Amino acid sequence: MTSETLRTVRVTSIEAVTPQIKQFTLECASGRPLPAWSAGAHIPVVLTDGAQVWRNSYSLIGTPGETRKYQIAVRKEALEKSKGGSVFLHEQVGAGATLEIGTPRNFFGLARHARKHVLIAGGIGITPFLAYSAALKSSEAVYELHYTFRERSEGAFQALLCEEFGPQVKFYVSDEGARLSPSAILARQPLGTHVYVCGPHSLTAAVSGAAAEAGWPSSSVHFEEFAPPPISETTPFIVSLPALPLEVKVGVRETVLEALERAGIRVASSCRVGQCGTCEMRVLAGDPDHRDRCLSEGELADGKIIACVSRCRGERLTLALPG
Amino acid sequence: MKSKPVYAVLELDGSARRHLFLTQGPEGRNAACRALAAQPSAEARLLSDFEPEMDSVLADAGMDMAFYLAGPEVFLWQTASRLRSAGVENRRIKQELAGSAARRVYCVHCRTIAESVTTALHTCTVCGLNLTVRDHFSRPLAAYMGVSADAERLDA
Repeated sequence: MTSETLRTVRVTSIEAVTPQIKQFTLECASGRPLPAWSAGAHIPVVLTDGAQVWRNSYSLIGTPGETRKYQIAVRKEALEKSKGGSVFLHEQVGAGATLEIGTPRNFFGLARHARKHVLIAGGIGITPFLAYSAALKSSEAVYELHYTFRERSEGAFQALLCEEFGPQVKFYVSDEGARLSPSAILARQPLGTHVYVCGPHSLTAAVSGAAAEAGWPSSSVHFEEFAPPPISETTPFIVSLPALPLEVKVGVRETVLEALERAGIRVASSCRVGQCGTCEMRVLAGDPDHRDRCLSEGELADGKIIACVSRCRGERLTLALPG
Repeated sequence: MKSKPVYAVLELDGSARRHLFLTQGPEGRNAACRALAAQPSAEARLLSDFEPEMDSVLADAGMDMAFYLAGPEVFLWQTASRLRSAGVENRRIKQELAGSAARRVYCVHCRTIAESVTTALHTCTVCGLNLTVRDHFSRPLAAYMGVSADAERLDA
């Protein structure tokens, strides 16, 4: 497994989009062009505050292919519900600061052969779709955007979306009683439709459930989440890497990946929500509790595991880095 | 050769809500009836030798539909191409070869298409070359590639 190449970028401007969301513009610190990217791509961002290190993923917004600068929109998540990286970005990172970022990757690209694209966003899940509009306009396909958020002041980029999507965008403000119904949106969609959903787990689960219920093929349903599947009733366990050798305890609020990083092991990672497969490892012994959404049945049977989300049902999991 | 299609026996796709069988020839129809008999309660429709009805069939289709094709090879791929361009996902198109095992052959030298070839060696009716029919299959053309079997003798 190769460890990821990081690049230093400078924060050149910060804009408040809503009371909770800030938009950061990043440029290469050495003035060189950044890697090109496609609509739906995200970048890993490494944030360092003394000994504390966060690795978060953010969708690139703006025009796909832009290499002079990257833009991300970050929602400040409550500390009880997150690990604190977004709070650090909001409160400690100002214009002129430098950050480390990884290479853009895309697991949420447009299906080029689709005849119609239906985009569904929940809250800050709107970000990947900001980059979609340029790609959609240049295609012959028809499209529509459904965007739900709690209160009107929290719905980021409404004016921009009206401009970009025109009558094809519909807002659902849940505090005003407007409910987004996945089954109503999916009903009567024509042959050749692809649906894309980005938002909290409750929304992506509702849309993929409604699609399966309505008889859609799973290949026409694309989703991206910002957080790993909710962790419940977990207990700490030991991860052992006999090849190094190394043993490290994985706490209840920690992932295998984070525990290994804390122990100084560099493991390549990207999405950190169990979707991209970058941090794949091999299980040598133990009873893995798989929580990823990327490995096939065959790969699971083969002993593969995704370190950013999966856990262990027993006290000890013995793993190996692939290679 | 990876491009040579592998056909299966038709079975209903449990993830779909409506099922449409499109067949050509009596063997194709039989194959569809066999698959339907296995699950008689499914919401299914069978169209045999349906050519003129295709457009209205597609206009009525939705994301809940799976398509099952049974018949000779050229029919299987021409129909699959039409379904694909109407937006049907590959995984929603199942094919069973039923009927003649004859192949359509595309002469790579003069681009002539010969129908119903039942031999591995075929003489192109247009350029006259002796062709070896390879397992290299073109889905858009629904044809196997025929290449000169005796190129070394051309100058003789």
